[in-house]
Amino acid sequence: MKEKIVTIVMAVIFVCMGLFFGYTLLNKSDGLCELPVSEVTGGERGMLGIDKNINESNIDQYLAREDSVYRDMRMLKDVANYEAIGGDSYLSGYVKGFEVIPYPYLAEVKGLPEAVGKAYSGKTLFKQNEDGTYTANYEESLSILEYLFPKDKNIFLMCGGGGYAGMTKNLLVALGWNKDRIYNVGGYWNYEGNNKVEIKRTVNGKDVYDFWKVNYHNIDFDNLTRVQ
Amino acid sequence: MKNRIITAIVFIVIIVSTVYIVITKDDRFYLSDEYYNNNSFSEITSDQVDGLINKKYILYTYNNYCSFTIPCDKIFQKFSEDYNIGILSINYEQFKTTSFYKTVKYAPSVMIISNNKIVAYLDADNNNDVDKYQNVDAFKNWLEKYIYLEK
Repeated sequence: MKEKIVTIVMAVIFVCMGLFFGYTLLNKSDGLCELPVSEVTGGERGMLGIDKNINESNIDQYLAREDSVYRDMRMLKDVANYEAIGGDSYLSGYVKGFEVIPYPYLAEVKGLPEAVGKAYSGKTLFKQNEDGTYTANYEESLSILEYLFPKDKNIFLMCGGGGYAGMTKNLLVALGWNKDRIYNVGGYWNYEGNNKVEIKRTVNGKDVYDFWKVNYHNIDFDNLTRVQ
Repeated sequence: MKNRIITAIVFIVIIVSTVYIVITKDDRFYLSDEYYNNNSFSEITSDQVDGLINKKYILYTYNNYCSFTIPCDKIFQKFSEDYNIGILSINYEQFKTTSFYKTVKYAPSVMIISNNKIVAYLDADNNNDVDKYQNVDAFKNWLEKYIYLEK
């Protein structure tokens, strides 16, 4: 009798273990944690569209995800004089894993503070209309955007202060991207994490920029087909 | 019996008076003298902040941001001119090297500093502070909670 009870108990234990391992194997995840909802923060930062749940303070927790892309929207050397308002016209550093695509090449920059002077005013992939919609300037404009910002991925955007990243999110959403999968992480100047890649260094008292470290996406407008 | 009633009344009066005094106590203070009758908006460095340890002043830290409806420095400068109160400003990169960065993490911000301590500040991450960045009267009303605007 005692032996039967032991046998039954052992059998039950083995069945439970089998079910457990079977469930674990069948539902094996790639280890990615679920992302919090994309939600704009409050205050002045909220006016730039910076995210409340994923921003400079915690982006380190969400780097190197296979289901995501990371884009820094600054120019290597911005035409606008951001030093005039305490900023940095140079891309003096970035967060590891972010690839640089200048927002000024995507659409016109509007609404800069007077002190910085004029922004980049050259060719852009899109033109912003008065009603907030965008019109492609080139036949390849949308496909370039789809390549750089895949719609089937989560998109993390960053820049210096959060402004270009916010403008990029507005552009993408206006063109049909899912706003819930786009996070304006904010600005590199507020980033204090462990994944800084320093670009700027000082040699003999002179500032030197190691732009060769930057994973940079150039857009060659001369090889694109202008929309008539 | 009569004595007990009188004692109770005196006791109640004392308590009510104490509560009233505590509630209506004015915690406002004066800035250091040099910031009155002075409508300057002066740029300082983090080294200079160290020299203001015993002073009481208003400090504005600013940063680059690429899209903004009304530049908030215009609001603070207008306030400085209208009310003749000097404000010190420091760019964010310099500000990050000061001890105040432990408390104020985002620019732009305005801090009321007394003897090297932040009494109050505007939070760039807080909806409740948006109007103070964009409206002179709202900014002034906020300051008046903490400091005397005239001496």
